[in-house]
Amino acid sequence: MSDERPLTDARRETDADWLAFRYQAGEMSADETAEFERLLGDNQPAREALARAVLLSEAVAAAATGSQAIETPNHVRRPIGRAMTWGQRLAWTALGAAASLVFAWGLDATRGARQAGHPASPADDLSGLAIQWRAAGDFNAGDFNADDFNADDDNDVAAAVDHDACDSSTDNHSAVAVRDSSDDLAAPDWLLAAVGEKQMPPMGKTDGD
Amino acid sequence: MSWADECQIEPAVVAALYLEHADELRRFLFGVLRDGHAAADAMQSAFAKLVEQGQSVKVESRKSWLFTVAYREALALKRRQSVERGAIEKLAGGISSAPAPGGSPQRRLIEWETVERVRRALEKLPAEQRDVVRLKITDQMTFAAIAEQLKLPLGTVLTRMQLALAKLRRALGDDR
Repeated sequence: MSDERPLTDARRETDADWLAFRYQAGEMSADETAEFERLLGDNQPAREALARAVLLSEAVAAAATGSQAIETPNHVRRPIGRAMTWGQRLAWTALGAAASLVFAWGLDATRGARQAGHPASPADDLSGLAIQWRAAGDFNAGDFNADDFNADDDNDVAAAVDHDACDSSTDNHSAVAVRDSSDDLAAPDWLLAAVGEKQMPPMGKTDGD
Repeated sequence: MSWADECQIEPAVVAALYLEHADELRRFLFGVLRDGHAAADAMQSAFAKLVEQGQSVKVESRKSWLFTVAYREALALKRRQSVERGAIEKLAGGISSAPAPGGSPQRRLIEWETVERVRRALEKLPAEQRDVVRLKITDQMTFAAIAEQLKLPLGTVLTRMQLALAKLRRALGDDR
């Protein structure tokens, strides 16, 4: 161990640093601590040695535990973060593009297979839409049964929407409730127009007419 | 103009002093207090006093003045913490809330370049010195425990640590 030679001048030069390290590491007796703290009261080199000891311990701990644990000042962190972010962004962008292509290809292939084997009717799509609409609108599950839809009868879809949005037993409240309960699920214009036609008497007409 | 106004230092000068000395001062205060929040408090008080009284301090003595004031603030905080800790320990039935020796700080105050420099210096250390450094700083063991674990005399452990620290300090170089 050639490094373990007796310390001479170099050691004396770093006495303050060694004392500071022992102080900040809690390796001093009470008397030594009190003595060193008296020194800190009026000795600027001793204070700077303590600051160095803290820096050194921090740097060693950070180097040993990994750079991600380091909280660096903003002016240092930003460029490093940007460099890493660009690399990561590039990788994620490439991965995302590849995944999109695979997904699009897979979707296309699936559609092709469906069209070849089981041609989907427009009613299928409408039924699906109705199912999603009802689910999103938080309808009562007991009122809804997807099996009730007849794929051959598009009117079933319209009837379901009518049932939920403009039940005659609740006057106009259903339609209002749809709009109130969820603005982003507002009933489409055509639906509101249909409700209006159904419930509002034609202008100019009275019961007596 | 009042006496207080005359003693006030220019904000730009305070800002410059802050940029120049804040990191070192914070480390120094952390070394004294071993508490990042308390260190920040002491530093803030010191700079507040610098704003109020800085004009009366000689330019060449400003750094030393700042450290002296901050140190007094730190000692006052330490005394308060000690009193509070004593009270809490009594309440908690003697459970110590004192930080571990060399306890991990709440805020890391180092820059990436510094860490890289120290990392390279660590790699160059002889294995026996590196082991002592790791056990002391990373694992936060006492020198006595390290000596026991490595089955070495305490003096040998201290010498290895001292030699390693001297090399690591040299690696810090420009940070001084």
